[in-house]
Amino acid sequence: MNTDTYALELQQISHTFSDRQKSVHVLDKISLTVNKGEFVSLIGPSGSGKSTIFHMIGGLLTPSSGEIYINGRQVTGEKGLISYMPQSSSLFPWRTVEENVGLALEVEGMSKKQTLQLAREWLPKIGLGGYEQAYPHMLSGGMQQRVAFLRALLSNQELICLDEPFGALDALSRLEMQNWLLSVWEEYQRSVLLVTHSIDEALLLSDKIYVLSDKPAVIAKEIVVPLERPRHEEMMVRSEYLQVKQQILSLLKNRQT
Amino acid sequence: MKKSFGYVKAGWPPILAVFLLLLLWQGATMIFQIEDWILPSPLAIVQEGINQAPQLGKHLLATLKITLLGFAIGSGIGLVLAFVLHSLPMIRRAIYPLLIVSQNIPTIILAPLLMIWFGFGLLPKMILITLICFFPVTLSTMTGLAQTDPQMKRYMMMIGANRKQIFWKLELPNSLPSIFSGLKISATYSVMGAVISEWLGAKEGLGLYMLRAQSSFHTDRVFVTMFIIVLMSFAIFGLITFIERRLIGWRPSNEGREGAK
Ligand SMILES: Nc1ncnc2c1ncn2[C@@H]1O[C@H](COP(=O)(O)OP(=O)(O)OP(=O)(O)O)[C@@H](O)[C@H]1O
Ligand SMILES: [Mg+2]
Repeated sequence: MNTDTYALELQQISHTFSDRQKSVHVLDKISLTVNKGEFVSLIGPSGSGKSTIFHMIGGLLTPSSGEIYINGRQVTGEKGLISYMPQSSSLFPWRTVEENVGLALEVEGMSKKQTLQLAREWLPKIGLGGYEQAYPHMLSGGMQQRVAFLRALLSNQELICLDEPFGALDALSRLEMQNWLLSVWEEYQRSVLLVTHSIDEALLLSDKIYVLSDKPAVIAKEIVVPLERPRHEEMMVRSEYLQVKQQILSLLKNRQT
Repeated sequence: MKKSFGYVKAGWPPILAVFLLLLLWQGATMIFQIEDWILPSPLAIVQEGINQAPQLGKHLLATLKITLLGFAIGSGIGLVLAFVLHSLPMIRRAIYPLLIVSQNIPTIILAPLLMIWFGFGLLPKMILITLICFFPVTLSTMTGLAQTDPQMKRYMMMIGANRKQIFWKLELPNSLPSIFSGLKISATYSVMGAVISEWLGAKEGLGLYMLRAQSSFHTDRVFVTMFIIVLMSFAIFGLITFIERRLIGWRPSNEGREGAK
């Protein structure tokens, strides 16, 4: 396969954080790819360097070694090429919901009037009609995550990076949000790289899963999810689903001990 | 509805306290037969205030003018200075200690110097008020700008926002509450600065009026000016609070969420 068919490609990314006292080797030769329109998950123990990988893709950090390609172009260290949903929702409390949704587009240079128009068009589609003028503190955690997701979705970048979007939610709203994300994604197929702690979330949503080991993180395994689309919750009891789940679980366990 | 009732509820204890104090004062001057030039009674002060109203209007206007002008210039300079120091860390490190030192020079000493150098016109007054009131604005603005949430800043950088966008869309709105607390302090300082500058040389103004009243032992007039100055400070403070509420409408209220519906 030609490299420019990848929405994202990481080649042999290694990284060491160092300060005066000590240095931490976090990532070790990480290579992964996301095809155009593919949903890829990254799963790994806490502290294995998942957010660090995102900061590199976003150009915030330059890897100690290795290269990053977006649409076949070498972009290591370049900012502003992805749309991003951070681990905490990071909505601006002084902006209304519609203004928050438009933020990424504003930064890309769209006029505020246009971004508001687009936000008003979209908010009802994600179940937030009537909340255009509300401030983030008036919304529930799940609603805030949806706003942050829409902000990322509307951005004109091909690749969406989601860093544990539902980590802060309780199990029930998490399941609800996963189903919601699934339906939105199946309708608007974009290239997605999702970081998660939940094996079920990764299996339900993705085409491909990368399992990271504990620090220094290497790719322990690349797994193609053996489920057809459209996906539904009922698939979670199939034998091939449980088999893969078992496999990931043992990978995570082995590496940790 | 509920909110305005809340104001009334919160407003009455201080009003009652002030009223009782005035009552006590009035009683004391009557019982102990205190001489008017030492401590006039509140009623006598009100009476004198009414008598003097025509002259006072002119002086009040003059003081209000230099207060507002000086406050605008001083806080404007304070804001710009904070923006510059925030974006140029090298200069910040060089100038910041100087700023702190400058705040330790007593105004009372500075004022005569300014008169010697710049005469008795508007300029030395503006310089004095500016010197007094730029610092709270600079300090609070810089603090506000520096307190930007690092996660939000990281988010802005990842999606490719440049320095200008980060400043206008994130850092400035984030520091607004802090800027306003600086402005409120400066506003009260600027009233004080205006009066001091008038003591040192002016053709009109409350400072001058107070000085004249004092030298002729018109203690009641001194009190009248004092009350007018306090009221003026209150009014400016209230105006700034009003603008603040307008601009920072997003802040969650203390009363909780149910108030929204
Ligand atoms: N700026 C930094 N300086 C030094 N060490 C850092 C820095 N940022 C992250 N680390 C270290 O790198 C490791 C990976 O951090 P990272 O935030 O990427 O983990 P993560 O996989 O996202 O964890 P979680 O799932 O809990 O979010 C951690 O051990 C952390 O201590
Ligand atoms: Mg993380």
